[in-house]
Amino acid sequence: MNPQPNRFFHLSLIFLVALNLLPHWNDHSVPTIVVGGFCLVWRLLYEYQKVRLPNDFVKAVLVMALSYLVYENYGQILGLESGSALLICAVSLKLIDRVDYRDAMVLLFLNFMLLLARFFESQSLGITLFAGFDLVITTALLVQLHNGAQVRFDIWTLLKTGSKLVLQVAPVMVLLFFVFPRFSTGFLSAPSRQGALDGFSNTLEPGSLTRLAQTDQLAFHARFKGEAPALTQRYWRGGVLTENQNMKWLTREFKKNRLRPLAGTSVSSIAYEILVQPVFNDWIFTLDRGVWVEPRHSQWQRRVRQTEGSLFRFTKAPDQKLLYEAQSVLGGSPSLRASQGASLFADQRALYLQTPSEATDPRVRSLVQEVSKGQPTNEEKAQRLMQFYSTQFRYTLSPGRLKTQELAEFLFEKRVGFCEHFAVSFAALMRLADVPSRVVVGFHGGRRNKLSDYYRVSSKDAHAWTEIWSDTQEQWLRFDPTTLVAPLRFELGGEVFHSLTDDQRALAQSEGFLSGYDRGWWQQGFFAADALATQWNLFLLKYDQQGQKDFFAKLGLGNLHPLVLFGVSILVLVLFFLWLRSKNPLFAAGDDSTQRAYLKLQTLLEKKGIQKKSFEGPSDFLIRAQKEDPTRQAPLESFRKNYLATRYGLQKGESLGKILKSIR
Amino acid sequence: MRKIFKKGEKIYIIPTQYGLMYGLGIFVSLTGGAIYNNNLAFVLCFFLVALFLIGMVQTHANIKALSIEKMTLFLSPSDSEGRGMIWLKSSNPEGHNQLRVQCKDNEDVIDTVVDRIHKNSLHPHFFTFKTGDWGLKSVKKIKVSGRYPFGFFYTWRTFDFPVDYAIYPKPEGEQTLQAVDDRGSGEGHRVQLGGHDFSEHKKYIQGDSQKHIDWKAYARGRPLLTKKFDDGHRETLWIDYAQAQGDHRQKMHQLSRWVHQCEAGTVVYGLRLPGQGAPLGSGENHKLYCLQLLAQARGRI
Repeated sequence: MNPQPNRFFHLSLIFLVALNLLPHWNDHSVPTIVVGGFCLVWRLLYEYQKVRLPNDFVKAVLVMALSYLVYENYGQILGLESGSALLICAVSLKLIDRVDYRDAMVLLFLNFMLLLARFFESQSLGITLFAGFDLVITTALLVQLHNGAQVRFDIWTLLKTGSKLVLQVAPVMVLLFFVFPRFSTGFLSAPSRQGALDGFSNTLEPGSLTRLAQTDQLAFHARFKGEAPALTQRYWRGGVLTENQNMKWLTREFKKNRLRPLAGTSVSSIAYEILVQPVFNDWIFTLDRGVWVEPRHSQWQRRVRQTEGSLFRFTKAPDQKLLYEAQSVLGGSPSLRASQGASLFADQRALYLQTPSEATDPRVRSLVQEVSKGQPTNEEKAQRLMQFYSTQFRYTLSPGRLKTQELAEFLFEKRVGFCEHFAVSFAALMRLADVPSRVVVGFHGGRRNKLSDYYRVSSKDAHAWTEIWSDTQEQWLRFDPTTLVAPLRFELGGEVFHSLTDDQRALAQSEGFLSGYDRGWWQQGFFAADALATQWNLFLLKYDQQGQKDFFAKLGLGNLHPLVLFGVSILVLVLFFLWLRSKNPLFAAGDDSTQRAYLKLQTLLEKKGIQKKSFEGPSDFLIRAQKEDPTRQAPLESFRKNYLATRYGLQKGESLGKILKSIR
Repeated sequence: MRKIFKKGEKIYIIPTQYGLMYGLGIFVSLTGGAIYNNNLAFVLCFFLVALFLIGMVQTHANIKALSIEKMTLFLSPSDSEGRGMIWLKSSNPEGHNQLRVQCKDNEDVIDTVVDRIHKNSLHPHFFTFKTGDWGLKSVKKIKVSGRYPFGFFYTWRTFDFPVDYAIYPKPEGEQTLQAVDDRGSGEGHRVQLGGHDFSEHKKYIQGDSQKHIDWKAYARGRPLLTKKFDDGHRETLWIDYAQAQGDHRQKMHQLSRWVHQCEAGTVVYGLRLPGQGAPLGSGENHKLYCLQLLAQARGRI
């Protein structure tokens, strides 16, 4: 005889399912989300008696159609993302079915699994807070379901019941979190996700980065181990583009090599850690010029590869935020040159000198000739070309489209652009001047959060620049024409610069503007939220096997064997169980001891020949017993009074056990 | 199966199928947390573990400190709906929720759910049950069980609580009762049961003639009432086992019907069974006495 959920419970369940589908909104294909919303609305209308539930045939068709859609969208059924999508579909379809006790229990269970699926996609602070709320509602509904017909849809009752339970659970949950031994299985890989930030790809053409910079998405957080390099030095390399097609540049698929152990520690190397968002496919960002990358988790350490152009890549795209440490050598240094091969082979030179055609536009030809006049070195040619960009160009996020996509149109007619325009045109001109060059994409800058000591790099910091090969120094040198076109962007950083209006930018030239801007209450609030979210992410990412060791070492309990930790976990559970029992006075002695004492007395008196008659209550029986056995009159009367007081008066009387002994 | 002993009190507790499913959820979240180094999956896993333990303790506590003070099963007709009342006493500071009370000692299906018993209180619970064959019956054990609050565990305990009760033959049969001379002449004559003039209302009891139900009063919102008629003088009738036709069972059902009919009318009636009987009388108590005699007659006649 199971309690049957009523309409109020169904309404609460609709609320819970809607709540659980919310965080999946952005991560799943449109059909999955549409089906979820459709089923929710259908059930809601059904509860208000506007529609009927679909029949079995319709449901069977829906199940088959959705399974096919999931397979079509994800290419598989059993993957994490497709599994999560199937889970959403299952929960949604269950809503448009009859929901009795069994179904309600299954739905509540699936909600836990939906939450778990969400954790595999994100462990952000927002999701953690959401999960707390979600667990409050789910546990409250579990209780409501077992309350039978008393269920009422009352959000405050749900919150009160659920919060009480969650608060009861929280201490043991936290304790177990810290003491349960962490282990890395390593036999299953983390899932990968396709879906990079719009803007970074293997192609760069005018407009690509502009779109990225117009969004406001977090890219990564970086913390330097030691003094941070100046803003002008903070170029985060991500990709290198080598193939020139006028204003469009493409990259080649280079061979990916296993990471070579770092040869010695360079005195000028700089170490830092990066907490990166899972939006860049397999790209790994390092400060210019990265020499070493080491992800926190071992399974990702095995997946780091090094490729042409001092770039790093994962063998598969991470699905979650990832923490890695890296080392870079700023500027040129002998050790860097040694690690990079120190010379450009002929085939590489040909690659980096490739141009779509000879310069046909006389203005371009003239500019190239001007730059190449005399016998200048590659650096001197680049320096001369930089002068060309210092005047007549304007930096803007909305440059408009080029009609011909030709170099000359941009250089001599349009003259308005974003960093990518300047970088690709600069690199193309360098090649026309017989200087090996390439375009680099990544980020520049990063805004320091004083509350967490982390530098926040966002999509507004997206940037492209140029590298040319120096024959004299035998290494690639960075040239960034945008610094001459928009110097303020490099003083303020991309995030602040792109957030300002033109009027504010005029004011921003004054000294102290940036510190004043950061002191604004809204910026302080932004920093606080960012610091909190970053610290939470770092805590979750760092509390692994090593993090646990470090934690116990700090407590003076270093070198704890995992088995000891496992034992402690079990002990925590046992103590929690005992605490729950002791908290409940039911488990204290005495719940039925009164009645047991009376039954013992009854047996005792029976042995003495005083039988209780079926119509006699305890009081009548004991009064008669006193008359029949006057020698025990006093203790029997004492027993009677105390029995009545304890059992019916709900008071604590004298111990009946002691009186019983005196009667014996 | 987990068995908890506490000073002679035996409470059994086992996980339900949903508890096992929930256990599977714990395993999945633990495995997911380990495979993907996902700390929030671990958090969820530990939350579920702690909730599981709370569920176990609370399900067990829900049935503890509970005693049955009294249970009465009212005289009821066979093969229909019986009525009963149980008094449950809680010494529990939290009270009890959703307790299922069952007796399976005989064919009568006693299975009822007590929604809520307040803390430290004596809770009377009225219930109905499906009756089987008639006769004197008893239940020896009362099983109290529950799944509150999460449904992860099923817990039960059995009380040794003997209760005797009677089920009388269901009023059935279309035979007409013939009047037998009270002076014992043996001469019979037909008597129309009931009178012609309205005398009073009485509460409707199952088995009363539907013809005498006061439907107008019912339409006015009053409970179901049976009209009693009186033609000025009270006749006496003997309901005699020998008068009824058919086999023993049919006779007993017929006698039960006549008792109800007589009570619905204005006659003074008595019951004659082989070896025992009820003297002339009328009224609710008299009817119950007659029906009790019919219930007791099983195996005696």
